[in-house]
Amino acid sequence: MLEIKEFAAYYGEKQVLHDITANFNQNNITALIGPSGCGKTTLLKSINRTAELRHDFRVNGSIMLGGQEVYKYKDPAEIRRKVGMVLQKPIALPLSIRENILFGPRYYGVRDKAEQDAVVTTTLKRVGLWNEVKDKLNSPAEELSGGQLQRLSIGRILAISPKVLLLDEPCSSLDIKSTQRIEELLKELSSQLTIVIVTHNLMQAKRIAAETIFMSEGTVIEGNATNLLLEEPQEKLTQEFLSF
Amino acid sequence: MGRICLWGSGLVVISVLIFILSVLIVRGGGVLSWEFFTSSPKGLFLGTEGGIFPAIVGTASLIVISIMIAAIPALLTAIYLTEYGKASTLASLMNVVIQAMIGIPSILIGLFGYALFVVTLGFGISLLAGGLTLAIMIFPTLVVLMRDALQAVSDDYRILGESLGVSRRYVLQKIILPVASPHLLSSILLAMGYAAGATAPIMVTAAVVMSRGSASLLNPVMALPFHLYILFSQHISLERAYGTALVLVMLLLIINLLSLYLRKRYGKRVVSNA
Amino acid sequence: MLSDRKDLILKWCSLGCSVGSVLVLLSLYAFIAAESLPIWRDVGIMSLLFNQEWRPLDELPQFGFLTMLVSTLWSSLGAMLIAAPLGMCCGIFLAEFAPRWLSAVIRTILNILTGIPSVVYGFLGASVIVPWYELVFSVPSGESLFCASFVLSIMVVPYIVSGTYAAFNSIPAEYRESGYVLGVSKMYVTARILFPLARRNIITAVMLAFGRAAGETMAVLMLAGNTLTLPLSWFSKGEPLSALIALEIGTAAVGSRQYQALFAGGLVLLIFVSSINFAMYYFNGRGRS
Repeated sequence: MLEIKEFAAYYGEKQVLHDITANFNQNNITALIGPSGCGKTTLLKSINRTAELRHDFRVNGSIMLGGQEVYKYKDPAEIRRKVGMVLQKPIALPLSIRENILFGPRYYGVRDKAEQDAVVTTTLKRVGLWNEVKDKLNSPAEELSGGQLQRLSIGRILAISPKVLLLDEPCSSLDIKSTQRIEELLKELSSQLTIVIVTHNLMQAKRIAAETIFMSEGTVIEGNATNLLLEEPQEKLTQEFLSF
Repeated sequence: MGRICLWGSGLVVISVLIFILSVLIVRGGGVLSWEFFTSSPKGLFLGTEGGIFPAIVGTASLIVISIMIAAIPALLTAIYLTEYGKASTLASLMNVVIQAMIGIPSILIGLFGYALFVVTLGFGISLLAGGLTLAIMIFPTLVVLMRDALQAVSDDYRILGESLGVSRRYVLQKIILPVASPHLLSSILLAMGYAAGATAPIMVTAAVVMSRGSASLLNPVMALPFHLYILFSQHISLERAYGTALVLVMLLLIINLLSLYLRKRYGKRVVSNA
Repeated sequence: MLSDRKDLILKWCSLGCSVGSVLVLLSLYAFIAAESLPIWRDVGIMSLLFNQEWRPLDELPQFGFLTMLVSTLWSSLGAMLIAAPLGMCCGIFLAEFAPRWLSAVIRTILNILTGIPSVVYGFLGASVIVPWYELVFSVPSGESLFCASFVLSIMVVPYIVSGTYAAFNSIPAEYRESGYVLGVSKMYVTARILFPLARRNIITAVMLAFGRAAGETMAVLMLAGNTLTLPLSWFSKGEPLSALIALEIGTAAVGSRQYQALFAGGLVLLIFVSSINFAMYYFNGRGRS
């Protein structure tokens, strides 16, 4: 689904991603691990083309989404519709829960009320929030807890039917129970989407990711099935990282 | 010794305000009455009796017209500075320009307004000329206030909008403007207050001592600050001058308090950017 | 997409407004320069600036700004003499020594003071300060550049205070701590460590206030005495440039020599105040500590 070939990225003169080649299979969760600052977030932002909002961002190489060159799209917004990204900090838009979910769909033309209601219901059910919020759809989303907000954030993106879901340390500010729920949600969603999750939690990678890629200093060092990578790392850098 | 200077300076500031307010209230309070607010200047020498109603109306019209002219362009400029232009050379140039404009003495804005609106465009001494001139005067202040209001809205929302692929206009319309609106409104109020007190620009473009014609855009108007100046400098009525000054100061105090209230009470959802 | 089109419209409209405002500013400068051009050419810069006679309506008209320039300098420099020490003390007081609640109260008061229109200050100055001055110094007529300075200083003090306050507030706590651990008094730390750090911003605030005082019209109009003789002392009467323009532009025949000369005066004032603002902008922009 998502193929990256010899991809390099620069912020001005500084090269931040070197010769990245990776494949993210459909209906799979792939974890991205590595020390802080190794470019994991930059890689995600390169895929959904939000990195280029910085004026000095340049790229080389190719990223293909479903066979189409990501960087050949004239309008980056089209890519961002297909590749959703969930950030580390759960953010609630200053709107009601219902309007949060409908934020994207409204922009893309969902006007009919029945259609809107359907989107809201389906999405909230998909992320497992329906039972908790069905009676207070019109109350402000800011009142939700961190874990609920993060599920809402995932819902916001699901509502515009992306093909790929990128997550940047989505559980780092959540408690164990909320983390569990998100992990379960991701496992369910993986049968419908391609998911890439950046995580610092190796146990999490083990729990949910079928494959794991290890990055260091802007380069992909090693990528393998999660069990194999974590237990029998081939590269020295990987071994050092895992053995800390 | 140093401590005396320091505490003394604080004392001086407090006393200045108390002095100003007490003088105005004591010497001007007596003149305030229903008649004062609602009738025109009367008496042997106009203004020795009667009220300041036309001046109140004139000032109100001037600030409404100037805001109507300046508000939308100022908002659009602020939007450009915060949303679309961010790192552009035009934006840096704009910031210099706005700073320069804020520093221009109001009499010179009046001079420009006189030459452009009163003379060249032929509006004459009129409400329209005065409103346009005041609009130019308050424009840079409005832009700065509105820009701050927009910037105070958390960037998180913009980032979220970007990652969902929606346009900046959409995020602006649905999220940023609604969140910033109390702050934006308070900016407008402050600008209105600024326009209400300005004398030099309207002295040369709009104001007369006594307006005879009907209220229309091309007629001159009376205005509170100018009326105050005339009452005093022409030695017409010292008491009424105090009254007019008191009304003007009260008006401005109310506007300022209102704008502060708007910001404090409704600006809760705003998270300022570090 | 439809929304993208709206986005583009918004983008271009906002860009247009920004460009428009730059044009308005430029046209302001251009207009004033253009309206005064003839008289700059005919009478000459030196004569306009240094001739002390201003007799626009004589048979042989004389146009000289010296009296006005000197008046402006007396009134605004005099205002700084009073306002700068007062404002700096108060700013330091609010930032370092005053209890929080008092600092907030005084800052609110200063805010209110900036909201009072200049005509009210001029009026109160003329109706209260001037008679008081006449009483105390036994002079028949109290309007003078000194009274103008006095009132101007009150008008600009809030700006100096807020600039000083902001300057001190932006100094990180470490600087204060490094002084206290040496066991010296708070005054010492403030004077020897903090003040030098804040100096640049304070100078900026004072200079900007000076520019403001020089451009102020209504207050000086009502207080300076409006005579056209060269003021030889702070206590003389005078007519600052801004007052001249305000008083005569309404009655000057459009396009006449006097009209052009008044615009020339406006240009001088504009250049003077703008140079101060630009100088401070670069003074501050380059040296962010």
